[in-house]
Amino acid sequence: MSVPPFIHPCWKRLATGGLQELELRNPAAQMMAKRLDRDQRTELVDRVQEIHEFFTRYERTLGHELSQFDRL
Amino acid sequence: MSFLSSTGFDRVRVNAVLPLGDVVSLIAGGATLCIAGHEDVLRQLPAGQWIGGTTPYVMTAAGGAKLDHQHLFVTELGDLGETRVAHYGPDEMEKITANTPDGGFALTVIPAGSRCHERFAHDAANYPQAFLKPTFGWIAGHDLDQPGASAKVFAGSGEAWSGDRAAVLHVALPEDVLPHLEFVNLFEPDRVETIRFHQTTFAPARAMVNGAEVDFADYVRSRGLEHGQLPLVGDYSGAYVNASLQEVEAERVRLYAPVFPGVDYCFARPIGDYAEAFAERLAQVPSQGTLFSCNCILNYQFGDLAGKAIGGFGGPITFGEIAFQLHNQTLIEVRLV
Repeated sequence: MSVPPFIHPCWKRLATGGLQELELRNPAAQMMAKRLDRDQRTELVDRVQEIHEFFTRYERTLGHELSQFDRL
Repeated sequence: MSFLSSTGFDRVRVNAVLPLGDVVSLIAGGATLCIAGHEDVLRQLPAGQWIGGTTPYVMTAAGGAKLDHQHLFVTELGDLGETRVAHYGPDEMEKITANTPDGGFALTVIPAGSRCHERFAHDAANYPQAFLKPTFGWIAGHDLDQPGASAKVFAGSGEAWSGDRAAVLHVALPEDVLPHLEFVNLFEPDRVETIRFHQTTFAPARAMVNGAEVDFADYVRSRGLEHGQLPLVGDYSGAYVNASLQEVEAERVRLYAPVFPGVDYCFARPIGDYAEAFAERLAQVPSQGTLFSCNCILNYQFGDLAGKAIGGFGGPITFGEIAFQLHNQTLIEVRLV
């Protein structure tokens, strides 16, 4: 699965708990997910943007994570 | 020049113990380097495109070793893209990420026990774009046979040293190249009890163990773990991030990395033969494109790795490992993919 566009609702779901529901194997994704989980002060729009930019930049190394997006 | 080990992405790069004279030649030739060794040897290096830090302990393909005062461990970064040497004080650690080019990464060496070390350990994962522009690297230390010695880092010259600044190489990468972290943590949670902490701290006094408030130092003693060989293992959405025990005092436990609220910790299961376990795990890690690696001094000590090879790994033995945030008792490798 390729990275969905920024307007796709999956990004909001990922930013509001969905990231923790994925089986993450990429260490950077795992640490980012925990940081977002612990940090509830960051605005939703900033969380969405950070997750989208991360998946866009590292798409090639996030195949396992992206393959789970269709169940979000 | 002898290559004790080397790795390749598009060409062979030096990742080896070299005599001081060869390192001077590499710097004079314009190579971009990360260098580890004794302080007196690092001080003799000329100005150039390099950062470094003190640790005399290294792993080569032949095994763990302690450097003498004529050699250094050198990791050459090669012709990746534009690189820039910088250094930052404890109040400007966010600049490590902020000043890293889009799509690039920062290679960082920070002195153990410094305010930079503490600030980075507390805050690094919260720096804006910390996961888009990753920071890798290590914590510099000292010769354990010289208890009074302190850690130093170097930014671009043997004269530009500090005990409380972070030395940084900002590295740009071609658009089609990604830095990728390989993370070899031998430790797994023992699942005996789940430990949580109230605040971010290097020295927790209290903790919640399976939901009950406890004196943490008493708890560690009651488990017979005050020897410090087994770290706390934090569960970061499936990644295990260690915080190692430095000292169990009467009223608190001093750690080499902070614990954080909102993270479930357990103590680690014991490991039998570290060298064998590392070799086994490293055999599963692709070696193509390896750029940089380091392993922890506690693995070197507790695993008795002096003279033992662990599957071709080469890099400095460090007093903390950096991959987005601070780690303990972990081997990290950064590959370009």
